[in-house]
Amino acid sequence: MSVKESTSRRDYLKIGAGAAVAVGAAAVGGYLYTRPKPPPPEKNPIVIGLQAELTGIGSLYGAWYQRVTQRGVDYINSQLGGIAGRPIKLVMEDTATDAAVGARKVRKLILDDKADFINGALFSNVLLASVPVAKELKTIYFANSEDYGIVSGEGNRYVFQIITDVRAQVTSIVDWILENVGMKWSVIYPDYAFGYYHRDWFTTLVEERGGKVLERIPVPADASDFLPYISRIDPESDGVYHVLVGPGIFTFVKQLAQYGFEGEKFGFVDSIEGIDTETIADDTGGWWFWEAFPRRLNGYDTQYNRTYREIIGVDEEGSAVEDKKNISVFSHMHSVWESLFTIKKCVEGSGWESKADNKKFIEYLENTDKLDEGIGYPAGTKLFNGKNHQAFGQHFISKMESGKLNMKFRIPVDKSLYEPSVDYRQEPID
Amino acid sequence: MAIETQLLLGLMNGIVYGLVVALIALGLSLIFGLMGVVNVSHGELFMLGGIVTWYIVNYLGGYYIALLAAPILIGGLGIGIERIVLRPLGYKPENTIIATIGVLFIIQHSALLIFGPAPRNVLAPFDFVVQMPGFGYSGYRIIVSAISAVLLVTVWTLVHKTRFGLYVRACQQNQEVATTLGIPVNRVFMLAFGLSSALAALGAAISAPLLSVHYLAGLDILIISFIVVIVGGLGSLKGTVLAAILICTMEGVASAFVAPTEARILSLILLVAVLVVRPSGLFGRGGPR
Repeated sequence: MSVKESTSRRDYLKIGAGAAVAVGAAAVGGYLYTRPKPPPPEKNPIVIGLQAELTGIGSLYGAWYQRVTQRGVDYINSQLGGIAGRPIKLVMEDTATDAAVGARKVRKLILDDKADFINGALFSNVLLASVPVAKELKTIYFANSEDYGIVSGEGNRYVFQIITDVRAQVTSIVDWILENVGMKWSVIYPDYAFGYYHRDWFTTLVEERGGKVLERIPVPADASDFLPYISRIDPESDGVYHVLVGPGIFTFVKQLAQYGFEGEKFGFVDSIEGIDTETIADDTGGWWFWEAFPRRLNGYDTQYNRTYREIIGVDEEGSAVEDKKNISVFSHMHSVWESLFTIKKCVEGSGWESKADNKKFIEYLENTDKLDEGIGYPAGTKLFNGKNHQAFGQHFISKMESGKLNMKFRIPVDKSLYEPSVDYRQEPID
Repeated sequence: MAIETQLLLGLMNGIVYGLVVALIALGLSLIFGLMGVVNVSHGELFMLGGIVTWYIVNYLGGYYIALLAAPILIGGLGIGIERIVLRPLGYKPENTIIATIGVLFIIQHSALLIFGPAPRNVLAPFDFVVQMPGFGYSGYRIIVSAISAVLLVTVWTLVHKTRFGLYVRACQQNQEVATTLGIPVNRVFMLAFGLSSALAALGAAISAPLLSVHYLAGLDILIISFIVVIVGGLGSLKGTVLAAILICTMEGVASAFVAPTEARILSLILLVAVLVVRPSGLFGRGGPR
């Protein structure tokens, strides 16, 4: 009988010793590889910690956030003389798209790596767990999320967001939607906070303008078949407003296309970030998509957009230059870039020299109204609201035609503004 | 959509999904019943099957090649795992669970590094719409369920009508006696593991156009496969198939009324109820002896 019935003690000890050596070697190797290196001989770097979703369901975004941040840091250091003459030292940590891990990593970045600023998370679960840590450890934190909660009471005075938020997104497109598509809508949204913000703000703004949301259809995050939800679309609707995200998107798109609903489809590029639009060409002809920053260069062709793409290595179609099949998350990843440049602008503008000067930085940014278009803000000039710490930008509406997103309408920045529901400036900084 | 229409839709989806899950879970059931091995990386083998399918479809241009190649490649990987990881550990449950968790991480993160984090789709080789009262149903799904049923029958035939199947059942009943009768137990184990992995990959290949290919796709299928194997009865292939169809159909029908998470809660309640009444599952014999 060659199948062992039990492991003898000698074998057990051998295996145990072998495992201990292997684990020990891995641990030593890991430590040597990842321990904080002493700062380079140049004086006094500014340490920026990137808290990215490198593994887990957010890894598509994390991979690009990492690339854009690294190249942004390299560009600022080599071409722009760093920040206030000091080089940026970038430290990156993986949140695994997990709230507990994310919060721990923020702590590690600040306490162990001495991060002066955090370029923060995208996913709301990680974000909401991380921002209290940032406040506790008195470190300025830039959210890269689109989350509305963070700028309506769930954030704090140390937290800023340069990328748009959901309420601004919906506000920017609602007039266009009612004028160009119709007044009656069905809304399909994911059954958690991100989806609720879309549902609630779209409904409120549409009904304020005399339109009507006929049906609100929540879809659980783990759904793999969408027909039961798609079938609830009210046939009277002029259009269906959908904002589902996740790997199920291919099935959703196909089923919605096959379902036979005659009205228009209005969605968000969030659903198809990182996805090759050619692979869904047949199903999505004529579908509208909101974009924060058009994936294709011809959607917003400016010298800054071209330079930005060159630096981060993305071509005119929005793919990595070294691999056409690696599609970027173009409407999101400029967030980490713009956050970096905002740090630069505010350090230089306020005279910040160390975290003892955080108050100066915060007040400087809160008093900033405008972030001008340039290499730091290639998606267009942004307006900034010091009350809720949120920046506002222009938005774009594109149409999918033969598997390509063609930008059709540019919505100016003032259409996305709203009156904040909080004023973080009231919070004391001690 | 009227409630009867939703029910019909839920029922049809449940049957399609149930047959595919049956195919995938069958592999898990086979090696658990046979070897007492709990293969936590089974879901990852499914995921890899999907990824291999994507690569073949996109770089070699043939979906049908993938149907053949993915099971062969992943079956080969399964054989490799059996020889390199499981056999030296002597198939003890506590060792194999931990070892296969390690294999899970290796496979999952290798997929992340090589395939990347973005989900990608595999286009169905053909599709047509079958008009049902109240909705159009994907013809491809109907074909998939037919193919799964045929494959299940094939596996049944393999287990009950071939010499290999005879050896498998003999080893399942009593390993020591099987060895004394000259059955090459090691080789049977190796081939069974290869078959189990190939079935997972085959399930992935046929369902890739339905589910999209993603490096995290293994986790959900692992959970449903374990539920199905336990409810069906450890060691019973028939039980696994029946449980898969029963549970997935029930979840499909329930989805006309409640969310998938809540439908899954119902499955888990069923799981607990079955185990309370019949601790070995519906048709279980209590595992290998």
